[in-house]
Amino acid sequence: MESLTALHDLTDEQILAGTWVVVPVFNECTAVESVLRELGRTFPNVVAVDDGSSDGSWGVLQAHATHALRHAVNRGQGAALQTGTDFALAKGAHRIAHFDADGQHRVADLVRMACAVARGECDIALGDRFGGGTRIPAVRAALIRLAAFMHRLTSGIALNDVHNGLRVLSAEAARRCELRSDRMAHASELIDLIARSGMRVGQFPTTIDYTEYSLAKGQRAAASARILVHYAVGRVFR
Amino acid sequence: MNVFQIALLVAIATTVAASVVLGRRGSLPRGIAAILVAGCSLGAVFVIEPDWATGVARLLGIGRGTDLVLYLLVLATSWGFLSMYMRLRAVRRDMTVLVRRMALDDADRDQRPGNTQRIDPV
Repeated sequence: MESLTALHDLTDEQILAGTWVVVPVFNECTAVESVLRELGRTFPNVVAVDDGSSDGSWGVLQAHATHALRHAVNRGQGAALQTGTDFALAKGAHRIAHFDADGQHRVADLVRMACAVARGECDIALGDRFGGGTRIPAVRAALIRLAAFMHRLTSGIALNDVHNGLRVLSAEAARRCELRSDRMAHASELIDLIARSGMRVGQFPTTIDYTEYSLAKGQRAAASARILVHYAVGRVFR
Repeated sequence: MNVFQIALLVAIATTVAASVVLGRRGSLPRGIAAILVAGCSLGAVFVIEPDWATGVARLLGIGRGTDLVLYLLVLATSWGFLSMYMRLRAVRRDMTVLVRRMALDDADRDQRPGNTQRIDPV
């Protein structure tokens, strides 16, 4: 009982210090600097993982991230997230957060999710762009809904948004959900791992800022379509 | 024997020789070398005596020798693609493990001072 009371008395500062934010970076040198600055103002531990960028992102990370790690060659976002997670857990992180490098997420959303996990409301907090005030391009929304439906069929987990890069996992949840798939399929893999982990999942409305940059960078709708293909292939050859 | 048969036999003989040498050196797994040699020998027999392929096909109820050869070819290439794909996947996975390990080792080495925490994180 005492520990429960203690949990509710956590200060925000303690929560922020125990939450290590992992930012996977691949050729994002224009956007990542402001993302790291903003995260750094709130979170004392930001682990930026350069996934073999060729555009000078690495220099930006070295200058602005609390911890900068680098993959010698590009291995995919899932691998970068796992490298950052391993690093943070080894340093004694209590929670692991995932935050995209292109500036589409909001730090305030992350803080709310970190607090929810720290206070024991759930073990895994997932961002849900459909719950926030985001205007989502129609094709993208349809693809994400379709992916969510497929997950519901195959893993039995009912989520609104299965490809949101904003997440917070308790240390225990992060240990149970070890990503192995290297390419784009990591988001799907993580959902499967979460479903199997038996941990409590919470969905939190988040706002995605579809800036001109993040949209231009992306052929992202095409990327989502590719994710579906990878998801199917991953089921056959995992 | 026509020019095509001779050219095919030369190609087959080269493949057999390469399989044997690579198999002996250990650069090619013994099992795969054996399968290659067996497949090539069968191919050589069918090149020299095309009617035998028809004979075997009739025995198997396939009818034409060309169909038999086509089926075998489809099987062999599918198996080849699949095993290459699996090998590639394994190599990619190993590479990811290595790259991640290197990144973590480098991070430990470059550990910067500072970032001392005043707050007990929870």
